[in-house]
Amino acid sequence: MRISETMISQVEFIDDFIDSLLERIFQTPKQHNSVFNIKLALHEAIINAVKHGNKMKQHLNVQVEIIKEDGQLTIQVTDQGEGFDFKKIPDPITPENLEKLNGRGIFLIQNAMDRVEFTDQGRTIKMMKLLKGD
Amino acid sequence: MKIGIDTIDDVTVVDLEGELNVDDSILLRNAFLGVLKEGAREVMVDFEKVSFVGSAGLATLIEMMQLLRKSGGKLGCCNINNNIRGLFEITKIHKLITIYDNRALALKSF
Repeated sequence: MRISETMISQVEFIDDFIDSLLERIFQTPKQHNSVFNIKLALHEAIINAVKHGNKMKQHLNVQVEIIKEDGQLTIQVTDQGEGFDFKKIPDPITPENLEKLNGRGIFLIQNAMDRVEFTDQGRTIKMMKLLKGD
Repeated sequence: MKIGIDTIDDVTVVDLEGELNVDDSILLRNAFLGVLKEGAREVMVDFEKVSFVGSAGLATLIEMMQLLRKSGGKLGCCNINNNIRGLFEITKIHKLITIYDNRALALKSF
């Protein structure tokens, strides 16, 4: 299964966009064990792309590519922003960062998925998960 | 998201229903600022009907905890499902906000 979708950088559209993607990935999303984590990863990656990548500029798009095959799900989210230094992401669970209101998105993605990679100077995040029993 | 607010034995109980994503976190923040303005000092958020929490929701809860702490109050959460409890644990937010298994235990402890 391959899905390729584009959305404009508007926060209000994110939830419906993600729900429609999940419905296409899993025919009955609530029955699958991995859905919470995949939804979380999609949610955080798309929010990052809209807010931090495209800086909510509605003329910039977020591209989502999904491949589900051989028991593995690969999700790629790309924004049209300036990119960022993904090697300098602060650890949100150190004592000095624990109470900060921002900076948990990528950490949550890394915990929710099996593998996470950044390319194109941080404009693209590629997330992979094995679908055990799904 | 639906947000219900009630007061039980001086504890402000916030019942949530739905998903705590970006937009709904703003709704929760506004509701919370309202109860804080009315003098609430002990707030318990019931997650029984919450199926999803993202980083924006976690940030809102931390901000609620910080504001209550500043005014000598306390924030607690109860009835959190295993997926959401996992988020609290990996982000170590469970060290900042007390989690109770159910509402009765939470109210007893406040």
